[in-house]
Amino acid sequence: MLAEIMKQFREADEPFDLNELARRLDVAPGALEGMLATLVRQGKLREVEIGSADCRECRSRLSCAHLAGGAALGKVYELPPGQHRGG
Amino acid sequence: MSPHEDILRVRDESLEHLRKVHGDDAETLIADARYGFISGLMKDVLTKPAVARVTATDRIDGFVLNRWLGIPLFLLILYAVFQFTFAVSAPLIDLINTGLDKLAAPAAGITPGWLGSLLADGIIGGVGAVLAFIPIILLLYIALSILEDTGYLARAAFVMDRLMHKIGLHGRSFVSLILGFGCSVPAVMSARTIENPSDRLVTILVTPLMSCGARLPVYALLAGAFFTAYQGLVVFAMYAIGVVLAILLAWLFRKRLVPGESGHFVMELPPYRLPTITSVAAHVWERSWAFISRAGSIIFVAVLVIWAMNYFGVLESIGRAVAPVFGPAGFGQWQPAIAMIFGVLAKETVVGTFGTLFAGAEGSSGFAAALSGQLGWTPLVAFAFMTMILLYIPCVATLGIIKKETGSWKWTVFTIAYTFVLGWTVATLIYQIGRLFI
Amino acid sequence: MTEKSITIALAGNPNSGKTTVFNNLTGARQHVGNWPGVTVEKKEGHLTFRGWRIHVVDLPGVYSLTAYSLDEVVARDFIVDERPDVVVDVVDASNLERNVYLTVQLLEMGARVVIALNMMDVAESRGYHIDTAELAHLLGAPVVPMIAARNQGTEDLLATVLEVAAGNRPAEGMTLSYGRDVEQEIVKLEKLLAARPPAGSYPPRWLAVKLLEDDKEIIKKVRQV
Repeated sequence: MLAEIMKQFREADEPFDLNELARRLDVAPGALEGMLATLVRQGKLREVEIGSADCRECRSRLSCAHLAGGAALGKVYELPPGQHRGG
Repeated sequence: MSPHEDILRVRDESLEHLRKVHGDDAETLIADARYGFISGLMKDVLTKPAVARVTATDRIDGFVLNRWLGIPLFLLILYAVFQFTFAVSAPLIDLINTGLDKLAAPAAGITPGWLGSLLADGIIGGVGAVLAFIPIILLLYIALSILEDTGYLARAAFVMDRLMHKIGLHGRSFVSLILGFGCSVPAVMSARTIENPSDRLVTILVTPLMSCGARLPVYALLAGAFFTAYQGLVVFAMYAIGVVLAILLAWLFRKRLVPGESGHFVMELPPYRLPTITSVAAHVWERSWAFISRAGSIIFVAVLVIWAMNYFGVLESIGRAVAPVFGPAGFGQWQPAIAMIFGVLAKETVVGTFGTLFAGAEGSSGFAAALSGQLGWTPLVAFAFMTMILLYIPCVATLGIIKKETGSWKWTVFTIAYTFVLGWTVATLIYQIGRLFI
Repeated sequence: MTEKSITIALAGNPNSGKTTVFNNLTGARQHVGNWPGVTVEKKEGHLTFRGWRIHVVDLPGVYSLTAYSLDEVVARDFIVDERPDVVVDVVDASNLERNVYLTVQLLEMGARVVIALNMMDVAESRGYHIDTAELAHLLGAPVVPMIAARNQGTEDLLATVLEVAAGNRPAEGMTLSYGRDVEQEIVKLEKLLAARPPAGSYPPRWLAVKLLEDDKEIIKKVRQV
């Protein structure tokens, strides 16, 4: 399962949304989130940290779509640098 | 060796062995076994409805994320937002302008003469002209906040990024770029989340092309004056041109800069939800307040300077020196030249400049008369000018953040140069080609 | 377990309704403190049911029991060190596949688990049907359907907890097979660990699995003795 997820990341030719990926792998989206979290912990995937310490000084904090608990723009997972196809 | 080091040594050997046989660490094998067990367990105990009961979110996403419908839908929504914004705000803006004009008349009569002129032409005419567009700003940000809070914006960013991937542009750019519809500064900052340096740089460089909120009063002024019936469409065209050029330029830059691959991403799209009044109000408040405080500070100062320089007769010569550059684009007069120069401070200043220099012009018809009468502008020229404002040198705040985020003067200067050239080229093309037909 | 008094721990994913279950059980008879030595909030409470005094400890909401996060270590350590009579695992029925990941880990630890299958109304509204008897059978732990938001199922839960605590209803736990190669290595390590167990009462098999998973906390414990 985890290996399949990594395969999807490496071989995909476009971004997925979580539900789409869950559908492809035939797992519940909630379960997929757990698996992604495991892969992030193992360092095989990177969860994009939305909203960093620098955001504290940004004058758009209140209205930033990135920040609203990630609520407006959601969580993003990607391969860590150096592990992409061909690079 | 203590028995426990012994155990750990055996463990290391086990891990090595398993890695050889299965090509993965035991941790992954074990996690997989659990997931596999659970998967089987679910098949035995959980029955989902035969026709998976689709949630409202899934149903809506069926359209929104659809390969063919997704982007047209996004454009349609943008268009609807502008139509709505202009329809509702137009009467309010007229109301404010009428009020301002009523104030300006007695103010002009105040002695000493320079004070009267300062008040009537500079402050009321200039800063007032900018503030008159508060209704549009409010409405635009209300619309943007609603789009964000409902969760739609995440989808829009996602489908645009999917398109970008198809044309070879990787890197989650749109998730950052889309913030540029509000203001370029947070959009540039949000590019920090892009890991690949080339992707991040390219995203930062094209962010200014995403038409920001500050340009809206300029469009409103000119579209209102020259395209009254088609205001919404014209402004939509500006945004669309910006987005298209952002994609094109991003592609071009990506080829020129270090290519290198970047991977794809998986994005969690939060379920749709109804926006709450409090959150929309908080967003709108923050952004509108930024607009008002800019009007009260940088725009105020700029308008004062413009007024003073005009009053003492030095403005026109500066304008005339620069103006010929823009002849081919149709707006080679000194007033727009001055507007563009000061527009580098803040885009709204363009409105303030016109307001000061053509003080006495009443409302959109007044401006239409002033610009066409005194400058010979046609709707085509206005359109070309708007694209110039859309594309040319971003405001100093944006330049500042670009310098900060790229850490380089080279790229900041490059931005100044390329945006100016792009703006001039596109405006000129529009004017010259348009002239053949109109 | 002293006469007529037991301790139970509440485990479960965040957003599984664990807090609601805790509130249903303890009402006003709860207090908040900290887990010793860490800045993780500890909620405890108590109630009396059928003559038994039940002390409830609310564990931090976690998705698994690895050593990677403080919350997880706190939850895990409590179960192993304090040995609560029963661990109630609050499971979100509408998110079963995800929630059960924790359940499996609790069972592997050898804890006496009662599964509180919560949010049955949400699951039903999505058209899900869960064979609770089969679930209980395959996991080797009793399953109590609940809708904590409406305080439904609380009494059943307490009754089941008492049965398990009294030893009348064995929570057999379950053993998951990790595949032949991994199992071979587990057996090797199990033997060594059984001969020289580290401090604390961990099932040897569980220790072996944790070592293979490169669990930093367990490695520390194994080194310490």
